[in-house]
Amino acid sequence: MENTLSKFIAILLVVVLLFVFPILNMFDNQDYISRTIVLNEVTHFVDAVRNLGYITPRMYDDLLRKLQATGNQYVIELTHEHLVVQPVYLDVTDSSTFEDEARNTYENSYSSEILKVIYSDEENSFYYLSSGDYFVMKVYNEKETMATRLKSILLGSQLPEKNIVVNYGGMVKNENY
Amino acid sequence: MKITDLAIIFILITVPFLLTTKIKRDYLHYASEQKIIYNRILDTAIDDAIGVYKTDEKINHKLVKETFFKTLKVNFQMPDNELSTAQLSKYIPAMVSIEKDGFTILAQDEYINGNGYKERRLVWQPKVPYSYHKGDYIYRFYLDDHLEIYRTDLNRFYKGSYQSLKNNVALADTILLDKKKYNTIKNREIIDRIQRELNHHMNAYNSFSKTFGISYEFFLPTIEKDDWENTISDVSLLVFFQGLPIGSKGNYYNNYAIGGSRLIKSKTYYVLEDLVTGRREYHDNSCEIIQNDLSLSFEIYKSKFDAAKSGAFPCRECQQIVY
Repeated sequence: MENTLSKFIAILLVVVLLFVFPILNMFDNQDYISRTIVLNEVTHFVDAVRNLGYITPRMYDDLLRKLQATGNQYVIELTHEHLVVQPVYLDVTDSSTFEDEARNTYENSYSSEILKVIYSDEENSFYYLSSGDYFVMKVYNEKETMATRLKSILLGSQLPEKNIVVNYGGMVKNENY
Repeated sequence: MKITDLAIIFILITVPFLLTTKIKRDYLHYASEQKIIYNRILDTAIDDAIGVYKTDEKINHKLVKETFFKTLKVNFQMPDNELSTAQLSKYIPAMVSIEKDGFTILAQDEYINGNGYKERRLVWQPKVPYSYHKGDYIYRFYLDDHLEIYRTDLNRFYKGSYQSLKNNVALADTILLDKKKYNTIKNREIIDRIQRELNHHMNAYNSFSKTFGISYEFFLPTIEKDDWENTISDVSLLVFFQGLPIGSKGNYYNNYAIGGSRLIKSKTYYVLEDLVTGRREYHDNSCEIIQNDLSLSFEIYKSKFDAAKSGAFPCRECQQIVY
């Protein structure tokens, strides 16, 4: 009896230590590398957009292909905040109510609108931004990664799905068109 | 005892140690990763803020601050409002704008606002000139070759470039004699001046930051000599970001970023008034309305902001207003 108990525990430990932990470690490392790649690619793309002032379908396709190479699926959220400087009137129809002030306001466009422009059937389907605008991109994994899945099984609890999250943005500098 | 039992005991003893080191390592890993991301955010923010500087315009300090915080907010996924600015400014003890004729520091200051209440927030301090006092002479340096000297005993003022003043007989015993020595003194004094002011503001901030629960001790980090020399070679912006907790307990993000100005000329905007409705609108020079306009009765402004400040609305065509 004593013999079987120690054997059982030994086998259990062997399985955990020889198989589960190395695999978990490997998946963790994979996630870490994926995160670095996603961070690099996203910053590269966003900086390119900020420097050029436009998005071409090719730039976006390139980004997608590079992200795909990490083996995960991602949700990409694009935000374009277009700077509109408005004069401040108490009543817009009455020019005597001018407050002698101006205010920076932003008009936002999101993924669906931007992608509609890029992938329209027109010949030069660029999406243009103006200098002073803000361009922000958020990328996170769509499904849980292998590491998260394995960890939830081992710990017996639900872990947060978003493991690879990159958020990056900044002001558009040039209008290179 | 059999060999398997020994193995189990061995594992039971080592696993706790292994696990604790792994957890610690993970925290460090996370902290280093976070640090890379924060560095990038800070660099982008300072870059955007310096982008507001235009070569042919006065520096709009308000806009510099707004732009800097807007980029930070966008990257930290915070809403664009005053509250987030206040939240973020806790970690910014000081920001220096180094300009041609002096520098200004953005630091926490207390003042009485329009409603008569005491308020504390980041405020641009008065500009400090790069001055230096030795013997009978008071010097005022500029980042470029320009120079002003005041001679106290004769009560006279000298102005001009280094070359033009060097051969002036009245200034024979000044530091201008040796160009190398002059440059060393100039650089040293400018850096010293900035450091002294920064130290003062950071120390003042320490006593204040305790009141809203930041136990971090803010300090002026040692900045490499090369970095300083780069900073004062032209118009630039220097910001300190400290005390943001990352990773495990006792780990704080502490960094500074320097942004050098890019020389950009400002664009021109045209304001045209509709003769029928009296509505004023501003346009780009590429706008068709401007190009087709034969009356040439427009006003010219250097920025959208100035144009809007004259009461003009943005043009729906060239300013890409969708809604």
